[in-house]
Amino acid sequence: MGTTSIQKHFLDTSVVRPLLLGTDSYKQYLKSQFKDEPCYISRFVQMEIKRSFLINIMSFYFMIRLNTMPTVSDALKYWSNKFKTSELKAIIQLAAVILRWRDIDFNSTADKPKALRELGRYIKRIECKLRRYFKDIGRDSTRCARAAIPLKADPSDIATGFKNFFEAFNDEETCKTKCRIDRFLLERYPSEIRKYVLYADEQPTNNDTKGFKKISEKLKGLLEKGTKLCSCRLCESIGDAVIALDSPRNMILEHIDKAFDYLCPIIKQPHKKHRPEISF
Amino acid sequence: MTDTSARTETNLTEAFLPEGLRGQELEHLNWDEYKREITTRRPTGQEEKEAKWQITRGQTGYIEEVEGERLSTSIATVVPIGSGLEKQFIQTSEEVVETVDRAEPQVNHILRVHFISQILTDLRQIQKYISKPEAAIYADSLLLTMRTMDEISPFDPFIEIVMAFHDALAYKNNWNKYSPDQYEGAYQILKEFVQKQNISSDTVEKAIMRFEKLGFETTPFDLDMEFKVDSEKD
Repeated sequence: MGTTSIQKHFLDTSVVRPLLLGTDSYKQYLKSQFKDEPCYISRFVQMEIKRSFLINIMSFYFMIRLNTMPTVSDALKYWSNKFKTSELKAIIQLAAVILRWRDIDFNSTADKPKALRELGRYIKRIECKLRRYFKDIGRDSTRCARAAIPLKADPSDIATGFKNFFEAFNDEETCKTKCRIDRFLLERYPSEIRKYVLYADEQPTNNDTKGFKKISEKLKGLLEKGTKLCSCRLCESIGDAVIALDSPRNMILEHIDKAFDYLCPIIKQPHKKHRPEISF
Repeated sequence: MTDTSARTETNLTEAFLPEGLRGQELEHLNWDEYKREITTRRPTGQEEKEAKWQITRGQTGYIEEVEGERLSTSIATVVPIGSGLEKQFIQTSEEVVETVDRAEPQVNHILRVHFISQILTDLRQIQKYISKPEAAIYADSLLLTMRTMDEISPFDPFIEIVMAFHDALAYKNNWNKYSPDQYEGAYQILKEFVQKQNISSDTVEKAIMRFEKLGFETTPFDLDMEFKVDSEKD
């Protein structure tokens, strides 16, 4: 009698994000790809979602809360005029969807507290799902201190909870004293990083290789300058490499980003690239 | 917490209901009939601001006003008579303050049980009519009861569980896509958690994840496509 092994999936940030924030049809597509098999994420992936999404939507929460913004509409207009990146524009688009759907009058001062309550609840729920919806891979190789910062927000005083989280998350100096990204990259995986740098140098620059080459350029700098270059900012630019190296080799790394098509084969990490949401 | 020393209490019946109805038991009224917005103008320095109060179903009690020198606008919340609930949203000239719910946990528990009993009844009923037009009757009742609960006890931790379920049902009329088994699962979750006297954040999270495991999408809102395009370039 043969034994059937269950395939395990390790999800990159580019897959976790649409599973939390994507359209219903795309979520269903991704879930169908993993069937009912276990999906894992790492603390580093959690941190990337917190940095790229939670911190931004929390900032918008405080933008609404400002007493200089009499209404939600004022906050939306201000944010829209000041912040032009697609990532930040998407935040207010999402907030507007949530608030409009809950019958918030964007032009009413009276509706501001309700808007804050709704947005606060949504943020807490996303953070909860990030921690609890996926399985943890059971190891924390980078010891990313930012990833370990808890979000504790009492319903009666959500703002204080958000502020405490935000300040701890952005306290890079303290986080740096706890994190082990330097050891992870330079002591555990130096040969893999050299392979990345060498391979990137051989590749032509095009749309497919652009992301990988950008990461390799940063890794090249790290090899030259050593641990003093390690920072939260560095992790922001080499996140895909950290995720690839940290992936359990007995799991399939599920991703959408193109950089993994280069990062994974070099280290013999099984991986699968999924159709992007835009193709739906 | 905000100082509420300058407080006036206005009986809801005296203030806003037609004369013939004054003194009646408010909970027996058809609230949809008396649903309206009341606009009051109050002096705020050189100008006047509006405070809008909306009476909706389930709000029985008095309106509590908070006044003070620094207030530019005051917003009243209708709270149940004798419930011990006291909460106001106050927008001052300097900051928006959300005051904490000072209701006794026991009061919260009584309110939860009251509303959840209606929700549980509707959850059983809706299972009989899945994929039939009649399901809308119970979906409407479910969503309305949950929203009423939110209006009355917005800071009760239990409401976070209820509203997570609410969002899973309400957004894009998703109530229509769930199966009788899923509704029965939701029934069991709410029945189990409403019995808990103390609701911690861990309790809330566990309940929400139970809904998620049943297939109820508690964060159904979509993110802008532009962001998705961007993320794919990495």
